[in-house]
Amino acid sequence: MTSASVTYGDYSSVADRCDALGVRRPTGIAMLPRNLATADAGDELLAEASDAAVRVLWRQAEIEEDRLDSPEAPFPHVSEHHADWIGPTVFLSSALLSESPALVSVALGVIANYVTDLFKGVPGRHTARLQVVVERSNGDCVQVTYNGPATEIGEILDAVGDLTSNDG
Amino acid sequence: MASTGGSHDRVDVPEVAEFDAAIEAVNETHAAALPAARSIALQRDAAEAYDALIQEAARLKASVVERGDEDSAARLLCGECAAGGLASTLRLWIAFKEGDMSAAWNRMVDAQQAWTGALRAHSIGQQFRRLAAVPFQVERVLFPHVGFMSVGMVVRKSECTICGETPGECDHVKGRVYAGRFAGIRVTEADLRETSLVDIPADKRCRVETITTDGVTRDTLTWEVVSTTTDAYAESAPDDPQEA
Repeated sequence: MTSASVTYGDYSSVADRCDALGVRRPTGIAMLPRNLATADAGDELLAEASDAAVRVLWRQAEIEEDRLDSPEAPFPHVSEHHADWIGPTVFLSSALLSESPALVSVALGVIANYVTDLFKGVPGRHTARLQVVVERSNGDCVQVTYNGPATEIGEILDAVGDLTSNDG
Repeated sequence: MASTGGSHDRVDVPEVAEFDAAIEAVNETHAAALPAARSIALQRDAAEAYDALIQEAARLKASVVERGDEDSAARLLCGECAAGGLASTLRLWIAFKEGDMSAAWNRMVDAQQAWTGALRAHSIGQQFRRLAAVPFQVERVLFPHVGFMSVGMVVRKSECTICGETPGECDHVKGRVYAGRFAGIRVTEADLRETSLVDIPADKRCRVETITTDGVTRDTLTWEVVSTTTDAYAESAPDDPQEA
């Protein structure tokens, strides 16, 4: 059985990467392209297949997403046909964390509930991955990654909560 | 098999009640065929009876969908999937006993997918957890470990299977039930990116079927020798080297 793991790491400055690639900077909550940190050009950016579901869930929860692309010209998305659930890379701007910190747990909770429901009672090993990039007040970014059983994905809420409450 | 009304949560909808009656009738005649040891003839008849239930569920579902009764449509979808799970499990046993391991594998995957659908379609599906576990246990106990292939793509255009809109722009969430159907994403334009060997694929039918070691090719399920390079040479070489 796969055990849950939450890991932390540095992430490139999202504002700098967006400027370099010619896409708009998110100032609220957003889903980052999976290759934002490594792409050489804006037209290489790729969304996750799960972004669409999360977009609807957030809209239904009245969470306003700050998109890097647009409905008229969405990023292409990656489709990898394995049974794991690969979630989006959620970006939390420093402005959002200072102005609407409660929104973070709602937004991540919506995702966790969806994934838990998807695999509830289903036999077999089901893993999920969800990444959250937290922007510090100085513009630096930290990445939190959950990797483990789909039904325990809610663990990332505590990890992100700890991180955001320690931003000094 | 329990009803789509659920043991503690019966609903007063004619279509759901009609389907429950149909399930009870089929179970009364055919549930005895479910254990693997039963005769193939008995199991074939039972599988056909559960196939008919799938059709019945689809017909009744269309009726409740027309009224906009989402909950009953989801219950009937759950029943449809459960009937599919039973029919596929029966066909798994038949194929296994007939020695057709490739067909047995495919029926096992059908059963896993159908039961997963029953569990997801409606909360009443949780009553099927024990039955749903069977094809997953079969995979672990009766089949060897096999490798799978998975295709990675960059999807440039896709549409929601419920409404045809761009996914994310409509109100349908992948994996949830709307009008008695699971929402999904239909890819309409994509570039192939890679193929990979994976442990847990989305579709377990995409398995490695044969493996070749030292010129000997074996079926990964039966381990029977399918061909050898010597055989291949013998088949392609002329009988008389002088004629070559």
